[in-house]
Amino acid sequence: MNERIFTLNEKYIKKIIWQFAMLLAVLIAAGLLMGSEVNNLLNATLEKMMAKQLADLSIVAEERFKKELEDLRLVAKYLEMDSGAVSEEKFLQILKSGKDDVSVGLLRLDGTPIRGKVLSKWDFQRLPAAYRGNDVIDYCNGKGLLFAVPVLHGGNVKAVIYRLYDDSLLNELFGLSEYNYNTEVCLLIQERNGRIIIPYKNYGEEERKFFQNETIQQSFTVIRQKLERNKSASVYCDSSMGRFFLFATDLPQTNCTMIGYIEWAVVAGDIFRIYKLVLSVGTLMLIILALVSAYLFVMKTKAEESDALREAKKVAESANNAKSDFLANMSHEIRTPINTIVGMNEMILRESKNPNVIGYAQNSAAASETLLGLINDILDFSKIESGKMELHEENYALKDVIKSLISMMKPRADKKSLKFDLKINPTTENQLFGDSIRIRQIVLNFLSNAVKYTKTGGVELFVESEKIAADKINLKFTVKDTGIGIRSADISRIFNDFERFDAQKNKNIEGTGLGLAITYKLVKMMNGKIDVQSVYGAGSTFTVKIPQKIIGDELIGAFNDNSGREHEEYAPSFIAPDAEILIVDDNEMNLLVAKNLLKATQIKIDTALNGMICLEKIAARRYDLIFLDQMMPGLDGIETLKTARAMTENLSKDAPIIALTANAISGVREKLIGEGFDDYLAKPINAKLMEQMLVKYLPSEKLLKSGKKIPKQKKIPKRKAILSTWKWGLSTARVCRISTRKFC
Amino acid sequence: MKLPSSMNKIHLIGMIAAGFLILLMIVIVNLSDKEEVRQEKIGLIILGDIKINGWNAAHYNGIKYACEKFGLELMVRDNVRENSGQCPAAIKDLADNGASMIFLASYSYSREVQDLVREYPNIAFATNSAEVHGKNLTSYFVRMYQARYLAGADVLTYHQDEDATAQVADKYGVDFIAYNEILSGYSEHYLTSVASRWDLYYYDIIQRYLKGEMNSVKNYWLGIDIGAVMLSEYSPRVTLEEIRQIDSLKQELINDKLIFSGLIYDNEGNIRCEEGEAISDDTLLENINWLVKGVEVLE
Repeated sequence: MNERIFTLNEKYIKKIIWQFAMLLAVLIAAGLLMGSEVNNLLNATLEKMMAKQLADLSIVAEERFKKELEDLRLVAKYLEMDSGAVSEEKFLQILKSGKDDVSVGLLRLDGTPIRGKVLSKWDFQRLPAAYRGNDVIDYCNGKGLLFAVPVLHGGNVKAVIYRLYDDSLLNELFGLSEYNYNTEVCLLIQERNGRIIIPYKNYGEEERKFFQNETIQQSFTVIRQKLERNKSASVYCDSSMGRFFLFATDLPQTNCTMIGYIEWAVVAGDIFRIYKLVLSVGTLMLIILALVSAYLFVMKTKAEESDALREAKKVAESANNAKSDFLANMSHEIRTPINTIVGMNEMILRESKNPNVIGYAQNSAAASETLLGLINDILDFSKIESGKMELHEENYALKDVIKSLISMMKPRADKKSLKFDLKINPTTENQLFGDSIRIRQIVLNFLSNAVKYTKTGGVELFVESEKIAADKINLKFTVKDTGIGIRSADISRIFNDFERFDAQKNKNIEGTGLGLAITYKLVKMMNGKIDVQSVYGAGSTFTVKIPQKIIGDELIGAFNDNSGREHEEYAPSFIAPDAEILIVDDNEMNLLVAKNLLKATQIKIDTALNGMICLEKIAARRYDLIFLDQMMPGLDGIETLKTARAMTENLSKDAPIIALTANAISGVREKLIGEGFDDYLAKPINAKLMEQMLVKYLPSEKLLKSGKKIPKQKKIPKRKAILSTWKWGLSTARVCRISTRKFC
Repeated sequence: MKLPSSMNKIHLIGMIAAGFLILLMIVIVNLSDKEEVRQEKIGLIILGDIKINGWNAAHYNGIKYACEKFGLELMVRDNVRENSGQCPAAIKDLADNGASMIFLASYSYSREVQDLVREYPNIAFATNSAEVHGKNLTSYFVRMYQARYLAGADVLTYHQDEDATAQVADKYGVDFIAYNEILSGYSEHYLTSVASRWDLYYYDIIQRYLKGEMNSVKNYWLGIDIGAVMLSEYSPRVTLEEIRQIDSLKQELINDKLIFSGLIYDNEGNIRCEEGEAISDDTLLENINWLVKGVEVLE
């Protein structure tokens, strides 16, 4: 049991670990998923933030462009009022402010200059737009940045004034270098077709490479798509050059776009540090939580485990009880057919004159005895286990016990060619009080083992007594053999349940392994002691001392050891040819056995298979005695008895009715007699007891002994064991008495 | 035995934890998804039934196309009569329904609702009339005159959102050019129609709105150069020679030839545009209250 619980425990722990691993895996997976989700969310948020910031920045660029336009508009206003050649020239000079890199001019609708520098149609593609009254800011490919405003005349446009800054001036004038703080942000302005117009200050070969990187370009493509419907856009980009936020915004009313990038860490670094801090604190908390819950769980598990242990113990106990009950019931069930075999053998032994047949019957009887012995062992064991074993103490003669032992063991020893020596102290008290059947069982067990485990040599039985009080002795049996012996290490274990040693060596030796365990427990019950001495390979000596009361002065004296396997012819104690009895039992085999056992008494026997038939028969005929089975289907014994007693039409009204019962537990007798039975007889039927019962209850005039009437005896103690006359019946009767509560 | 039940408890805890985390994940994903999608709603208020061909269906289909392109929700209030109080009601209704941009697609709406428009500073209004301007009210139109220029003279044409003129022209056997309406098969006197690509028109203005460029300029005027106006397929009565002539004119316009430029007299003999000058868009949209030399008004 301990082992089982240990395995359970281990399995349990394994499961716990497995479960926690699973939980942890789920947590990790969830954490990773969450981490990447948070990452994405954060980047997406930052993208929006960056886009917004850039939109704000673009206003700065726009403002600069607007300032340019305002200069031009101011000039245009003057020219609207005063369009003389002199003032035109003067204002253009002011706009040019003496710089070679700045071109200015006043253009006609067809593009020809009124004043100033000629500007190709291709450089100023949106001249018509200016003539429609619009301001123009355009980058002229390869030339520079062009600003133009219309000069109005009423609601009409009469000329367009422009100022063109050469490429070389753009960075200085419009560069966003002051926003490229700490060189972390890189901003530049390009044409919408991608050509960079105004790079930042340290724009060089590396930057060119950066913008030409494939991943970066892909990201800018995404930005372009976003710009289809947004003022500004930003995209997180994880490229081979590093992690960046790229962004762009279109400058309205121009063909320009402001683009730039910033390192991811500059923008997101702090936020991610906070996030990581939160994450690690969260993880720590989670781990602590997991540990605490694991601890609580283990505590809970322990509590549950002890609950489980209690539960398991209870279950095991009830299973053990069920097992004991089962064994008791099974033994009873097996015992019933054996009983028939034993009975029939008895009949053969009584009736056969053929020595061969008698020999067969004796073998058969011996086998039946062995089988019964095994079953009795099991039954005894189950009774001891379930605490139902009781001692039945009564007066007995030690001589009878010894005779019985000899009669059982001598043939077995002879069969194995072993010497069987009997050494009985003649001063041993003969008349004792105790459970002789159990004493006999104990010694028989030692003797059986001695014979079983001895191949050569012999077995000795010593019987003596030690006086311990005026009316009390220690009855001492010593069984000595020259057998295989027991290892000293094993001696302490031989009284354990089911123990059999040298299993390989002794595999041919039959037995349940229960014998010594039962013996040990029986001796304990009788307050006795067992002593074992053994030399491995040389032999063993078992000594048992059992305290017994002395009830008479008779000593055992010289013991006449002449009992053996000789077949004694059976003779009935009486004959009663005039007597007529009825036996009622629902088991035909029982009826057959009973009839045969009484055959020699010449009693006229009628049988009935159930209560109803019984009632019919007693009404019609007068019987001297009725044996009535207690447990029957339909009308049971008690009901049949009551009906019979109440019946007016009953020819057997005054016939004694004796209960036959397999229910032999204490108190049953009283109960049955209280119900109205005259007496009761335990099943299976003991022929001798049955004969005694008949002697007691049959009318004395019908009892004859060799033609003579025999005198009525005193009431014989019901449970007295008759050992010598019907040796096999003994254990059978015994078994019957101590079991069969339920199944008879 | 009690072991299975406690095992189940562990399972349960695991399940709950996993479930909770999954839930959390879904919430996070949903949140980030929701943030991504900017749900703008566009409102259209129009005079007639959007199922009736001509002005109404053309505008409806155009704006529907643009909204689908940008993934925006379109809310339409049609059969809204001018100067009846229906337009202000429609604006309130659309504003209540979350419209962030509202098109007033009939000429007189803007004057009727100019005060109301100011009450919704967060809604961008666009109108095809140039009469009224506001901080959140932008005029938006196509250069229909470019197509008219191509269509030439000596025929009957009209500029209204129904085809009464076409019916009369057909009745009296006069060749005519329709307006925003393909009438081939309707009349043998139908030559072509002045047509607009309202889908391009609406795409452009909604894009400008989304890009936050609505307030940069007072008037938006889309022209033949981007295909916003054109002549629809010619009837067989238009000769190849005529078509070639029209094509070359069209090319000039695409190259930004200004129609309203050079010396222009009105029908009363006043110079309206000097040599070398061009009439500005603002003037064209807001201040043309004269008829050009050669135009007669029949009353």
